[in-house]
Amino acid sequence: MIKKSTIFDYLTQIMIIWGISVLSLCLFCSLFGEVAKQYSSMFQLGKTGVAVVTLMQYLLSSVIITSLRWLIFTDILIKRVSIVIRTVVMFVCVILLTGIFAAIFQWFPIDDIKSWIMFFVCFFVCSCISVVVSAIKEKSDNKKMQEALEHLKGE
Amino acid sequence: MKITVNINEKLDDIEININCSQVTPRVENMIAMLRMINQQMVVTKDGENYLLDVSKIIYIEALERKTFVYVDKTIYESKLKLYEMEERLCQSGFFRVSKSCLVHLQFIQSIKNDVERKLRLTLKNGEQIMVSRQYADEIKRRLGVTK
Repeated sequence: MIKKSTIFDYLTQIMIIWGISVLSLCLFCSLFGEVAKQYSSMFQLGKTGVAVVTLMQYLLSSVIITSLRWLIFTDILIKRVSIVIRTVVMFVCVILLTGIFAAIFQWFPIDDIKSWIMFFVCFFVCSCISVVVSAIKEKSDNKKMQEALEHLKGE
Repeated sequence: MKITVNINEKLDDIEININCSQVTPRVENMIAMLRMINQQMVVTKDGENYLLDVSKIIYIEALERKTFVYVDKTIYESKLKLYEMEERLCQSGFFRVSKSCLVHLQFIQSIKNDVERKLRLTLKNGEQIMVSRQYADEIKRRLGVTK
């Protein structure tokens, strides 16, 4: 059975990224919404909820991140490049994208150095968690496949 | 696994019956290995024909409309197309890993995930072969790690 990627795989990926981002935003909103609404347009409604315009901004960023992921992690444009370099390129692109979005949509005051420091700290922590989780999952999947291979070969 | 040998002098040929609760990938592999016994194919090298044991083939690759058969350190050529090879060998532990390659399961040393749902196979001779995304799901199914 040969399974090819379809537009629905792409849409699923967008929805996963968007869903997780919005859930995190809702959580942050309910905890710090009232304080954060003075600094960021993302929390303009305080802890009462997330504005539709913010949801749409997040959707747009999810579409762009999924497109970047598709470009960087396939051999269509970038050929014969290791996973590590691809991951670094992806992180740089996401930082740039978030910075641009922060400036355009006033996610945080761009002339405030503390905001940028907080942004990079949050991004670094999230990236580290993401890398560790991915590495553990990949190691576990590889182990399962190796065991299945050895079992199948009768070793 | 229990192995029972029944001797019946009236039988003309060897009969093998497999009793199992269900056909698992391991049973499929056992059947593949039984089918491979004494299975041979004609290959060529430097204009000479050779009769090759299928069990010795590591992988088969199609390049520039030619089919190459890799055995240890020797590369033979076959007149069969890759899809014809696949038809003959799919019951003998070989499976498609890309549009141009068939690999023998018994010669895979390790299997790992790679970018974009591809798989990277390391063969017993040290060579590495990429499994394209289209065929990775089928290999995982045969390994029994996915539905």
